[in-house]
Amino acid sequence: MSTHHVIIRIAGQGQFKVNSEILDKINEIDNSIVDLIENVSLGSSDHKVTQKELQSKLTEMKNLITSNGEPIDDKEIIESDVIVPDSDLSIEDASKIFKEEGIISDD
Amino acid sequence: MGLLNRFHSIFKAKAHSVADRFEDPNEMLNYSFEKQHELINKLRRDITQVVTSKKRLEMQKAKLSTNIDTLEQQARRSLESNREDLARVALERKNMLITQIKELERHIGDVEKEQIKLENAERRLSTKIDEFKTRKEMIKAQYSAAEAQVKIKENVTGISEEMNDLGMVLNRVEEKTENMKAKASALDEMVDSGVLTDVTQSYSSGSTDIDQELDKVSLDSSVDQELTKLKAQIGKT
Repeated sequence: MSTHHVIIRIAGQGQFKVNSEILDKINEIDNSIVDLIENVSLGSSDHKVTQKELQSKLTEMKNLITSNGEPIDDKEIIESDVIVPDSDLSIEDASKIFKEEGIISDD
Repeated sequence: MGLLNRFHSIFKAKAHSVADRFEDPNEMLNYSFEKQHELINKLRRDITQVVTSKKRLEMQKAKLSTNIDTLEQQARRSLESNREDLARVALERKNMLITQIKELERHIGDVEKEQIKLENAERRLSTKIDEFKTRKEMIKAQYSAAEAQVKIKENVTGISEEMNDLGMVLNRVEEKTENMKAKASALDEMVDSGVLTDVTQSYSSGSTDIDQELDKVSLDSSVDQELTKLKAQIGKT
């Protein structure tokens, strides 16, 4: 099977062209984030610990992308296939995303 | 559905809403241009604000450092006059200021990070805006009306994604700058009201409590000296 590329944006940092194999690893981390947030909404976890874990997962994701991907030229105007939040995303904002509340302000 | 999918759909919805709002590609372009310029101007204003905040923090740091020097001199003078109690007060204040300075340094580091983030964003967006201008002319010239509409829509969506991303960065930075400003004002107030240290006033409004005590000590000792001198003179005659 030949590999293809996906365009990933890291929020606040720009876009990267990444081998699709990396995407599988990213999806694994994404699934573990889902579990983490679920625990928060169930109230069964310490807020500070969860925040730290979320940030370390997002940082792992970011490092995976930046070390395996190729930054896309600033001149490129292209839609991303995947958008990854910045690693300083707060648990509150992450929960808002799950509740599908807006985190981008309206113009 | 994972975090990434949900996060992405928020972006997508926003990006496509611009492209879907207009059927006429010219209107779509005009609207998009207007938004791009609004955003880049806002971005530049925010960079100025962040730079101002950083300068303010650096000035506070410089002010506190001067106070530390003063307190150290006062502690030395106190000891020379055998006033260990005063020396202790001066050193306690000095340590308090050192803690404050460390905190300020941390804030300055944070602000610097924000500044770099915004400057990178500014560079990226202005490059994209220039490219967008060039592309739309090329698209209009090379494609049929229907094809051009599709291509322009793609570009508007692409640049909208970038703008949404930037909008989020800006909101965050604005929030952080506001917090920082509040903290800086609180620190100014503390210094001004003397909670942090009375010594900071020594340069503007004369002597401080420690200075006054020290003056009294030296005054007393000079009176003593004069008395001894007088006594000696009287004894001589």
